[in-house]
Amino acid sequence: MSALINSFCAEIIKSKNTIALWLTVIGAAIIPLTMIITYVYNYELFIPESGRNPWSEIFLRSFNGITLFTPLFLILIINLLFNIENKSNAWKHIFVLPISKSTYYFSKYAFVFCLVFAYYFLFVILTWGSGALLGYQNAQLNFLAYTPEWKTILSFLTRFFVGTLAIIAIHFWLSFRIKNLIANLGIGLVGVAFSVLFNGTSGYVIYFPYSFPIMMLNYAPKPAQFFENYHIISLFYFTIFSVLSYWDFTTRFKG
Amino acid sequence: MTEEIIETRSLNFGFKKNSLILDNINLLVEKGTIYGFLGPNGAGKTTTIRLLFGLLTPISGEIWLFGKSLTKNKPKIFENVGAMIETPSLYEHLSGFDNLDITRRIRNIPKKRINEVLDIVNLSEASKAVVKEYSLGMKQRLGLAVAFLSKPSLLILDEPTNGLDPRGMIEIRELLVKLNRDFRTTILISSHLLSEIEKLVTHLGIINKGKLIFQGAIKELQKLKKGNPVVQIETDNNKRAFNLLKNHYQIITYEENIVQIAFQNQAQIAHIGKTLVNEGLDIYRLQAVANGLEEIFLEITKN
Repeated sequence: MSALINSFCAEIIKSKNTIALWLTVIGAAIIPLTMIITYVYNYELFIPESGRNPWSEIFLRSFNGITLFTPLFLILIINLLFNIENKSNAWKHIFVLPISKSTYYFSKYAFVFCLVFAYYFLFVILTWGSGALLGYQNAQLNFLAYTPEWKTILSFLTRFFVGTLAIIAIHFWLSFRIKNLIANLGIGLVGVAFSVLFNGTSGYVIYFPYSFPIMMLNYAPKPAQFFENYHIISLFYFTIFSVLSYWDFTTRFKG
Repeated sequence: MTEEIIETRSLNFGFKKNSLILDNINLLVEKGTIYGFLGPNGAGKTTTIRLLFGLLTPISGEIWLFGKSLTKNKPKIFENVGAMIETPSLYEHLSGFDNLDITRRIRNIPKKRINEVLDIVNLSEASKAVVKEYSLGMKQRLGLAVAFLSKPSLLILDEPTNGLDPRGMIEIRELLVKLNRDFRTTILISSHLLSEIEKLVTHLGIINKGKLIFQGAIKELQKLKKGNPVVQIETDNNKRAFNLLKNHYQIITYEENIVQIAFQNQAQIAHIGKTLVNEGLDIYRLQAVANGLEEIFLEITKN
């Protein structure tokens, strides 16, 4: 366990001054900033009806924003994290350190998840902050009279996170196998483009991993069924691709 | 009793089955030695070193480090090994200190050791600067600092003086000798230039075209010496000198500005000198060119 913690700490040091780290912050801030601009310039469109919580509207719009934006963000972040090793020609150094490949694999995976969680956390905090700021700036928007529906936010984030697990696992594997950042991003772009073209939530599209986040557009919680079929399929893909990439990394990958 | 630190048994490697890059390599590095692994560019030195670390998989053969099979004990074995393979693997967006800190954390070494190795490689003042601003020599020294960090009992360095100026090379040589003398660190150092490492190493392995063609103590290499040494002569009339000596000695080359003659002992050099002076020739140069290790190395790797 201490080897895993040490390796994880090394990952934190490696991420200093990297685009991956800045992108996590900037990526999380883009949608809230867009919300501020949209609300300031078109505030009359967003004045809520009496008795209606304005937070539902701003968070729904923000959710739609990250639904489209997050898949590419994830692909980019994972690639950039592996690119730290690829660019520095560091595999030959890492693989001669007294650390098993398994430990390295899990510490890298853990760091990817840390950045993903940081991204979601920052996104929620910044969206909340944007709403509060807009509330101070224009009382008609009524943000200060209500509180966000935290339960809905948490349920969206949990489902959305599960929906993106397939993409995380696939691109975690591709990132150490395909060292070209552009090629990797290209695969992700094609996947996202197809999922937008499919634009559905039923039929075979539920087997296409890049579609899962898009399926959460215009999120409306369904209390009866927490996870839909595509969430289960995403978890299945995540398990399969994680096991395969672990096997590939620990037994075949030589850097 | 000698203790083998590195041992390979019938090591074969190739990317295709029918074309071997390494052919039956039986490397043997004993404890406390400085082993020079020598060969021309492309001879298979880096490939062998990569195999020693499991970065490549051999077609056949075994690799033993510290008397343990590499296939089963990698992380444990690597606790005692410091390495620099080809160019140093450095994170250029980080400072020299951070680069060392990454390895320190993974190896679980006390933090104060970072400043010790920075002192050793003379990079203390530049430790906070980002590595992309370092010169080639500084990067090389930082790479060595990473390798020294854990006070390893085995150091494997692949052409560590690449990119260093003559002073830097001497510093690294002195440092390696000190590590070997004070801590009995076993060192395997690869190079394509014998002159670069002949003053440093106690043992040599010479590889050429994937085959280990010599292995042993450096003194044993002398035994491979072929032919006689040569004396180079330059006079005010080389043609006359050539005519005077050609019936008594074996002329190796005769050119307008130099005559090269094979000799067997020092008395013959004295005789050559006397002959030329007695005939009234002015001698500008009379220089014995020793058939040194470099020549032997070039000779045995020629074919």
